[in-house]
Amino acid sequence: MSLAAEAGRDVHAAVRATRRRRRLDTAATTVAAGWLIVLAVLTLVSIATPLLDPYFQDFTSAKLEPSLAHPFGTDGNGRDVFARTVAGAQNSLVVAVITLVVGAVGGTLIGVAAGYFRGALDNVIGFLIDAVLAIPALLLIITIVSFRGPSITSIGTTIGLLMIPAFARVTRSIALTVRERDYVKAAVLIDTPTPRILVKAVLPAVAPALVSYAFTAMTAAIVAEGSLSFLGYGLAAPAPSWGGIIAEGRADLATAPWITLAPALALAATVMAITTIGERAKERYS
Amino acid sequence: MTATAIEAPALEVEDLEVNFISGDKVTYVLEGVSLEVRKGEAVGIVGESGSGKSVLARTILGIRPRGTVVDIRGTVRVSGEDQLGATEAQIRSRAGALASMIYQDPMRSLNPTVRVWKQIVEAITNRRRVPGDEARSRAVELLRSVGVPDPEARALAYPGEFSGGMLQRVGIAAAIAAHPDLLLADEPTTALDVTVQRRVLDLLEEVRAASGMGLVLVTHDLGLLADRTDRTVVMYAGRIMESGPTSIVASEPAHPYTQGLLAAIPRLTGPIQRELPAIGGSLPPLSAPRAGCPFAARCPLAQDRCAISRPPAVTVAEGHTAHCWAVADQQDEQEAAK
Amino acid sequence: MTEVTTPADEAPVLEVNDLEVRFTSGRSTVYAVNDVSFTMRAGETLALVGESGSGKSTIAKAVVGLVEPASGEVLLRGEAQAGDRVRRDRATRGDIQMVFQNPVGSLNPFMTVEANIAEPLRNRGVAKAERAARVRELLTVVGLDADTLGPRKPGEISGGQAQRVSIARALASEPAVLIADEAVSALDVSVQATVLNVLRRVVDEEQVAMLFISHDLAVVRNVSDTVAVLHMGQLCEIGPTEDILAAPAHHYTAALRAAVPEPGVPLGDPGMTDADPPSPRIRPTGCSFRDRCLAATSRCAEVLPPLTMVGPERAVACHHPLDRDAVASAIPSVTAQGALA
Repeated sequence: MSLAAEAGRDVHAAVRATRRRRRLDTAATTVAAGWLIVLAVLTLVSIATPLLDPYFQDFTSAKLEPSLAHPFGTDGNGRDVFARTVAGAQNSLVVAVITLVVGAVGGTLIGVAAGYFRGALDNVIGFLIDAVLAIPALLLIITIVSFRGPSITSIGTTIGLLMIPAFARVTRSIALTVRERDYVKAAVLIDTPTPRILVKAVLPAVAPALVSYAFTAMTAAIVAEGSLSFLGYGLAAPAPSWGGIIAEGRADLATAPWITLAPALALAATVMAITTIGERAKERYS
Repeated sequence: MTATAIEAPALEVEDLEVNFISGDKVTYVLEGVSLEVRKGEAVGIVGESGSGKSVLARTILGIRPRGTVVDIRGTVRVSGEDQLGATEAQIRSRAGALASMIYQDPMRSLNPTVRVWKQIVEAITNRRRVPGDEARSRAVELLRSVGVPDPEARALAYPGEFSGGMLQRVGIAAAIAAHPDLLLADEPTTALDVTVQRRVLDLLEEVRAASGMGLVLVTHDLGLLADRTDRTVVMYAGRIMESGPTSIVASEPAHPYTQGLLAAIPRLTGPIQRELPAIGGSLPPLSAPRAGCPFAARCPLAQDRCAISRPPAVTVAEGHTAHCWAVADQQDEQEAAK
Repeated sequence: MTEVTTPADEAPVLEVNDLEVRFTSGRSTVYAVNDVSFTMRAGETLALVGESGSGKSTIAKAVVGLVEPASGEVLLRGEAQAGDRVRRDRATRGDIQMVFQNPVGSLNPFMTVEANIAEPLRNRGVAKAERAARVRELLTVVGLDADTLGPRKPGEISGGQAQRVSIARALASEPAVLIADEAVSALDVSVQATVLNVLRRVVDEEQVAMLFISHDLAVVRNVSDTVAVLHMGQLCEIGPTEDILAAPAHHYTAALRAAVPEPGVPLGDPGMTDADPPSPRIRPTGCSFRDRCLAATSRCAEVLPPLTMVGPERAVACHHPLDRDAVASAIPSVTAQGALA
């Protein structure tokens, strides 16, 4: 009996060890989620109230160091960097979401179709994907954005279009294996219409990989938008976006580093937060 | 006392308990497993899925599943050397010399990009430097001994160039390369056709007889063990149900589980069974510790105490043991009748 | 080509005539099924037996129309079926159903057990209320409790239960022909018996014709009325199961039979050589078993042995068939133990 009790203790010790590890993960996820919530609340405040005006200029108080009145200091035009960073978040995240929707929906449709139907369709899609991937992405984006004008939707959809190949590859490989599964063959034998097979059998199998890749894609989209704005192909000034603010502050890096650092840190923190939550989502699904 | 009597058995397992812990889920895999395999002896371990037979084989070799905390208690000794206290590195340096394993799917256990001769002598070359020529001629010799035709040429081939049966021979050659004291074969013929299966099993028997090592044959098929192992151990839900001489366990088993298993096997001889006697119910969940006898819920002879109290090991005959309350009662009655 | 005759009063449900299946990839062709014919009647089970590469599963796929034959025909109630399922008549497409080897993997993991069984009904436009009632009925037919198992997902049930759900789903289409492709191979012995019993009952009570594909002669013996033995896509022998297993006429059948392990019964003489069969990538000439056969002569390599009647319902494709009376006496266990029982 005592042996059994002892055995029970050992099992519990091991369970406790894994619980401890899990608590650490939970803490990281909580911090990450907390950051995203704070960001969302501040964004709402800046939209709903005049408290955080990213355009208010006061040339008498240009390049002020961070203080109580200006937590992140002011920029060369005397605008509050905190207000601009919060407003930038809004633009950057909206672009990222548009990117994600375009990339995920387009990529999944194309990838699942190619993987499930195989044959000529797969070959044509494969060729198109390779062709898109062969063109330098930045060049393509800059060209398209130059033609269509730098709006949130044009930037979002353009980066999104370029993400279609990656999403298509992820979903195609899964659709390829799922179509060989016995439950798909069984569905064919009981005359399940193909659209229903795709929705009921293939999509749910693709979903977990899609979700975990979506987090990665989201971070890539934020960074891409940042880079684009930094290069001057993003939203037109004075509209704020993280990349744009970082670019504006570049000239003053030596004298007023906060202008660049605040949005850069916000960007880095957001990317890390999304990655952390994405990792948890991946764990849960696998 | 003769020299062989003092010699340590090839394998000693005493009161082995294994639990897998992953997150807050605990899987209770093995409990109270004890068995001994002498050198030169062949023992069969029979069990269905969830019986823990493969985990037992892997635990003996020190193979632990990745990403899972394994809680092991009890003793495992191979040729008298403790396997559980040893570090993984120690076991790895020993494995191959003391014990080695033949896997179910040789295609998966061999590296498809490395010529087979290198993989056959790996157990030797991992441990000490061997000149290439010597290693290769040793591999050719081993291939010849396991009946691979044209061994000189076949030694240079890659695993993909062999048929399933021939590849399992390569697996056997690799397993016996370092003259282990104990050879474990985990479902070595499950992936093979029946006509090939018997040749591979015949070969295993030959190899054992020639080398004097202990052989453990893990299988789900009680039929395979006839004529091939001295003793049979029947496992169910992580526990040993019955163990004894193979010929007796396969013809007049004492334990109700073994009896049910034997009856459920479709026969090629005897009357045709339009309705096969199935064992109703299913394996108890391995996620909870199992009080009493794990077979109680499916057992036709179950009594109230079977679900609560662990059945004792009852000696039915010399070397034949069954863990069962009903068998214990029968023994008592017989004693009383005397 | 000689064919095993069916009594005139009972028209066959399924006829397969001179079936040939080839798989071509790039420049190489695999001759998977070579000139195979058989017929099936309602309420009877035909077993296709053979080792890996024998073509038994390919025949099943050709019968349901998942694989297009190179030549030959599949007749359902006397009507020729298109090679590709898609071109078959929608009304009779559901008449041939299949149960696969992997129990859990052949059910949609994202749907409940009930929904899986309801799918074929839904596809045929059966109303929702009627579907639910029929699903309960089908679960009862395969011996499962609708209340406890119905709402579960396939991942939450055991292999034996999953296989019975697969059978219920196949029955939902009210098939005339049920194909069981290694349907019990992945199951534990104690569970296998339950599934085999369900299959037998379905054949008897629903009067379906079952094509039972297996590598296990012992299972086949207890489940089928007729057996067809295949080797490398060639039909070696066909006839009543008990007859053939008691006295094989083909050397391959005898070798296969001798290799089946059985508790407490020592294995017989292997009855074959150690050689590998010829490559399936070469157009077959002669008997595919010749290299492994102890009785092979030069003729076996040159001339394909035709399927020849050796009894009222038995046919064998062998130039040197085993003397059936001699064989029967050489396998004493059959008669001896049969008599004992």
